[in-house]
Amino acid sequence: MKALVWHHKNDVRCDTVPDPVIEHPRDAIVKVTSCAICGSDLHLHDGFMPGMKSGDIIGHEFMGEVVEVGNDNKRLKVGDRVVVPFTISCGECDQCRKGNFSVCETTNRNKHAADKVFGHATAGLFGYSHLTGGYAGGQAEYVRVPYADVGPVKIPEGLTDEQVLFLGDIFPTGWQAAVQCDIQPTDTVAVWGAGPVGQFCVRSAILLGAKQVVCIDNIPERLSMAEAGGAIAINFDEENVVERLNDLTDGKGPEKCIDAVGMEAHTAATIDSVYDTVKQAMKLESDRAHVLREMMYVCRPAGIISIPGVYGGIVDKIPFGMVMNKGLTIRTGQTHVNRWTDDLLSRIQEGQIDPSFVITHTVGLEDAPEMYKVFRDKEDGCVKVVIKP
Amino acid sequence: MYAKSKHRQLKNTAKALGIFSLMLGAIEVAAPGTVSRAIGGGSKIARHNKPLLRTYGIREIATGVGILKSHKPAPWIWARVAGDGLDMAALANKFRHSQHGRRNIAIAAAAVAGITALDIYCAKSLSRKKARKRALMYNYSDRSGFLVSPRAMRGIARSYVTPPDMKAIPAPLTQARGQKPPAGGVPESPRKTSGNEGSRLFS
Repeated sequence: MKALVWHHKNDVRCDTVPDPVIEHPRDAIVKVTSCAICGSDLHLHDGFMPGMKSGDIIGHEFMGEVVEVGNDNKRLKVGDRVVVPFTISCGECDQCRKGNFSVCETTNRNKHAADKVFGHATAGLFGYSHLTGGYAGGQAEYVRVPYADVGPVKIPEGLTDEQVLFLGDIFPTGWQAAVQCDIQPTDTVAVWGAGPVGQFCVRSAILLGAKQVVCIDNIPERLSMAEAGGAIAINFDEENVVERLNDLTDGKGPEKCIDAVGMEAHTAATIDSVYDTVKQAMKLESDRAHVLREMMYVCRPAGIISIPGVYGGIVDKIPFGMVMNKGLTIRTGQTHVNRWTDDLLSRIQEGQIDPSFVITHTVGLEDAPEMYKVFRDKEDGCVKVVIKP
Repeated sequence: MYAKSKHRQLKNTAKALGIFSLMLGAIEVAAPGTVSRAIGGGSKIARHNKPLLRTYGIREIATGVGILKSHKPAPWIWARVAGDGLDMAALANKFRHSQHGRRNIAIAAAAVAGITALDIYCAKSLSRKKARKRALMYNYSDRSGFLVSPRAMRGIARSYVTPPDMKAIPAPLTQARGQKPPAGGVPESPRKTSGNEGSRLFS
């Protein structure tokens, strides 16, 4: 079959690889009908995530048709149309029972390595390095889905791939980021990053009833999309983020701040961003933390900082005194996708939201390696790329 | 086609400047005395200038690494321009206070001026390209994702019950402060969900 294979930093290719096979009675094989390039795939592409090996099949946002089912899998049958969450969960461990699916204690096949790096292992993820289990990803014609009697979400008839594909990652990710802010009707929610996850953060905060939602970026077309979803836009190339946020909140700062940017923050030429870039280039720091610092600075005392943006390793010069003295709450983590999918699928069916608004490019597998660069460099108005294998 | 080859040319110039930065930095760090003597300082002055030249060398290496590692090198080239300014200031200071070797200092200053001009040209061209690209506006103002206006959708999920492990303030504290429930007047979802449906499947 054809699949997108990571070879090296900035080197993703469409290769011919062996077809996947059932390895465990709970498995299923899914024929991928649609998949997407996620912002966190760029961290792999750009060489920021540790634990990648040449030959790894990438991609963790995908859906398709079940074509083979293991003997012990009583939940799925051949022909089912499913969206597959990017987190692989057993459904039986303590964490899964609490709804903390992204920190499942069972599914990470490389637990020892992850224990060493993170202290304790987290869940297995599709196509996202050997630190998260080394599972083959879904930017392929076929994919093996482990624990397929737990994660996959069956899709009812009448909904297109484009409407439901993002239930596997970015929609629940934006939703969880907003939910863990515990949004009140009096709240201002500031969202850093108008990429795909940022867009869903904006819409989730609107649906949950925030008084005002502000979105910060410097890409005009992305900001126009955020404004369409109900946000007030701040272009950090044109105005001072902290001053504007304070102006919008009577000088008190936003109660809730969401970092939908993560480890590769691009900013105006501030002292800390230059410092981060130099240290990162010299391998003395893995992640650029400008957004975290700005959120900690501007967030209202007793506020909440929610971090769906992916960080991979070590950040530097974090003003933790601000966090402590202002009594800020930090909530972060990979998304507990299955915790939210039933509810979000209902909202799509009811017409509350149509997630396909975010798609700007649709390509075949062969053209997808080039789209990684287009997406990374935000060229051609690119916000979200869907791949049709 | 022209634009692409011009862009490639600029990228190559940036790369060359990055390599130059690395080499100059390495020389300044490894042999600051030799560099000082070459630009007109005696051995006593060379000894005195060593720490400064080493610092400048580290700066050159940092900008060189930045230029070569980044796929958007313009900010790093601007950092080189700033560094050129420091170099010129140091040379001017030296020129004022030196009795000997002024000719070598003048040659060094001319060389720095030449490389500064190249830096500025490269940085400006790369920045202009970025600005041109940003001006290509794709308008997504019709992509709300909602069937009706965001104003009408605001709060439609307000009845959603935040899961207990994600509440901002425990309920008793909220009640003690006398907080009122949310104001009405917005459409509400008929369903009340805790967000834990998935986990209940497995408990």
